[in-house]
Amino acid sequence: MAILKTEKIIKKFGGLVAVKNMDFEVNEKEIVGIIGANGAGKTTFFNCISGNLEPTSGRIIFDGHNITKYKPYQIAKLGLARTFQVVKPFANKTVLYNVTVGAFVKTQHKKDAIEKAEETINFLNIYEKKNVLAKNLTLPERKRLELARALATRPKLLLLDEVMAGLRPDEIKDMLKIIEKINNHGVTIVIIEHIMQVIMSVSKRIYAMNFGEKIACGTPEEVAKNKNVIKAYLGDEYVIS
Amino acid sequence: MGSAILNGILMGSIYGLTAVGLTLIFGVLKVINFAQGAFLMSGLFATYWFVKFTGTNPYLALVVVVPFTYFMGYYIQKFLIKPVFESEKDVREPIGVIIVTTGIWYMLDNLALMLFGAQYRTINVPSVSKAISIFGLYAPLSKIIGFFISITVSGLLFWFLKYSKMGKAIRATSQDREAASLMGINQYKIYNVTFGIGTAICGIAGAVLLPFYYVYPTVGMHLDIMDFVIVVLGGLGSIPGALVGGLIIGLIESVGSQFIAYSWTIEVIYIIFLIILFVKPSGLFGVKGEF
Amino acid sequence: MKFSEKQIKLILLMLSAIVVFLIPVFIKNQGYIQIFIVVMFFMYIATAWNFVGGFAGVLPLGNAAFIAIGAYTSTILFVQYGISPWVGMLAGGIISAIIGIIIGLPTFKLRGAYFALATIAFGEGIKVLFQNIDKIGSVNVGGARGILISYSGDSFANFQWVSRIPYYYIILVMLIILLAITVFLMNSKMGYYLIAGGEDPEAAASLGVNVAKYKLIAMALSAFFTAIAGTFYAQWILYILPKSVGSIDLSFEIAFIAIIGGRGTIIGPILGALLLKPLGELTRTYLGGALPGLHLFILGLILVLVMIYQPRGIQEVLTKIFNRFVKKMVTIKRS
Ligand SMILES: Nc1ncnc2c1ncn2[C@@H]1O[C@H](COP(=O)(O)OP(=O)(O)OP(=O)(O)O)[C@@H](O)[C@H]1O
Ligand SMILES: [Mg+2]
Repeated sequence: MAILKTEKIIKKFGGLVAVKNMDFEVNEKEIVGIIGANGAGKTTFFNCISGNLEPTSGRIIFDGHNITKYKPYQIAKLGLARTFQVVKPFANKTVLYNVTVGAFVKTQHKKDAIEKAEETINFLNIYEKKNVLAKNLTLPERKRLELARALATRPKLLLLDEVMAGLRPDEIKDMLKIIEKINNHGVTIVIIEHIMQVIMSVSKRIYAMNFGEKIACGTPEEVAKNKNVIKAYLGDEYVIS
Repeated sequence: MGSAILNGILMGSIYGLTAVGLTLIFGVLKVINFAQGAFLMSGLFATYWFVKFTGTNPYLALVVVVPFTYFMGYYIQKFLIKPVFESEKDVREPIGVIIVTTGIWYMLDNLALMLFGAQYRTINVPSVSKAISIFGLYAPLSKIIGFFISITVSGLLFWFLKYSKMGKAIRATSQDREAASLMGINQYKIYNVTFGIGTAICGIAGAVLLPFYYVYPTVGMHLDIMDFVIVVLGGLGSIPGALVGGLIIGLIESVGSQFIAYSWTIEVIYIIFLIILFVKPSGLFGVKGEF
Repeated sequence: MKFSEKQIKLILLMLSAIVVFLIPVFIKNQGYIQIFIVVMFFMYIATAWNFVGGFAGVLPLGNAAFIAIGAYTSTILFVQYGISPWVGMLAGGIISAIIGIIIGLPTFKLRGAYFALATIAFGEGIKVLFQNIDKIGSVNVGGARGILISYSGDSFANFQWVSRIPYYYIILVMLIILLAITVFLMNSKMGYYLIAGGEDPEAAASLGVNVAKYKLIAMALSAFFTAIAGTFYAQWILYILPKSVGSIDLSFEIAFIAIIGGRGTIIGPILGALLLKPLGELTRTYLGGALPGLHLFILGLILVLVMIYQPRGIQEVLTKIFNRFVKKMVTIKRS
């Protein structure tokens, strides 16, 4: 069953069409990848789904709700969480504090929220950092914090925007494990990533975007062989016909 | 009524000039300089003492006042504002800089109070205080000179930003800090220069204003708030906007006072200001963006 | 006996509370008591400012307007209708909270500098309004001359005493209540959400925080408690005029105290007032004759220095020193 479905999403910035007619579907418990070159419109598409931008036209259905015109906080409350490509920690607060904010979505009590937050921090292996101020974290740690905070809202669907960019190979491996672990707990995941290999190893299905448009969609193997994708990624001369 | 309009335009142009300094600094640094009124006060006092000591013409004071205020702004930016600016580089709501400029305002105002006392001071320049007639309307010559100097200075600034090498660098920095520094522009140098120019404009405004105004340590306060209204009205960062905003506020002030008490005119200006902030924060000439 | 750090802190807190409560017993000089009242008054209004200026992460520069609204509401009700200032206090607080919300609705959409400017215009607008209005119908507002509250004998209901000591205890209790509320809020969902929205509104919203709602609540609370201080001021001085209760200088001073102390922290406004008010009073008393404005010059200087070297306020260093001190006490007790 589709937990998230978008129909003909268009987002224009003045004359620039950043997202063009995106039809997109994610089934429950799936991991779906989105790939695309710089400026392909991936982040903009996420922003439309999470309510940070209002699409110029189109419809977004999440878990049975038409969320097209919802505000970000309303969408988050419905169980759709996201991370930001450019991480946005609450810089002057500790890791635990950051994550507790996320955990408060499901409870009124500080004790519950902190308990949930600690659980999440533990789950992501950053427990020893829990009392460190977010501004003093390294980039990989910040990415993890970003993920922890989103996860603490106990989402049904998690949108991850380049959580592995800038990480070393061993850190990427760790992150992939974590993502699979999250998915095993029943969380549906949509993940944006530049690096094909990385995304192919975890995703059941992949969407490829170029200049705001969906140019391919299917299993990792199908997408990797797709002419349009090769053209977009490597240039015309690599297309073997 | 005609005289009120004329005086509103003349006074408004000088308001506009002080607002040009404020809007220039905002355009480049994205910082509202709360010390702007204190800079104007400094310009007024510098002119006052120049005239007192040399006994010459206030317009001649520009030779001294302009470099004085320029370097004052330059070094205040370099030593006091820059450190805060740098530490707030990636803060979303940088308000530390506003606070620093407010601190500078308090320091300057009260330094003047300690040095010169609280009394109002005026200069008497008979040659320019006589009223002359334009199309049958009367206004003091000093205001008319002020009008022309304001327009000229704004025009020169516009030309400078458009065609000079430094001006181009300033504009590049205001549009995109990162790109400009990649092009080899030293952004902090640009900020210092911009702050210096913005302050020097206040100095000029002070020299122009003094012949028909007065100076006391907190004289900048009233003009400060007027300046905020003007730049937001015209669109923060827009130089023509600051001039037009100045004219509008000058007109409201002088024409309004024909019908209602001056203190109510001020109230009207505040209300207009709030309405603009709520309805169209980009002002008349401002660029669209995040407010 | 062994104490943990937490216990030592609690003991120190209780000790200082006892000292503060006993001050009027030992210090009989009304002039000194008056200075204590001034300090606590500013601790109180800076703490109320902190809801918005500290936790919600914007810069309000018009809070004197709420003091004016509180002072005028209770004073008009008392002087002209004989309604007890305690009732007027509540009325002024509620009116202020409503105005706070009305003004907050459009202004919270504005970013940093624009918000600051809007609050300045609001603050000045309210002051000029009070200056301009002499009478509304039969209600005497007093215009620029203000309103004098005549003394009619010591009375709790009338909120009037010749002695300064009752005022000392009233502002002390008000301060303790406000601090307790602040501590409680900061440890609740509301506090977490408010701070998150102040740190990064976009990130907060993505975690389910209705940032605008929490900012408005903060604004209402801040306005309410600030207005209450306005009533206190009116009954303490027995004379209000727009220039004293509504001035931009007062608005700025409130903000400065909280910022220098450390905005967004509970202890910040307390430390700020504790440092700045006595310093200001002393320079004004001893050097004000020779150098008027010296205390304000120093205020500006401290502000600039703090922003450059301690942007999170003096609380950061002081808390560190305090914690080190407490740690030392623990080890001493152990050995
Ligand atoms: N707020 C905005 N205003 C104007 N243009 C924008 C805005 N956000 C994005 N764009 C433009 O929309 C296009 C798509 O950008 P987007 O950030 O969605 O790409 P992306 O696929 O996420 O790229 P990357 O891989 O670099 O993150 C780009 O051309 C970008 O410049
Ligand atoms: Mg992106």
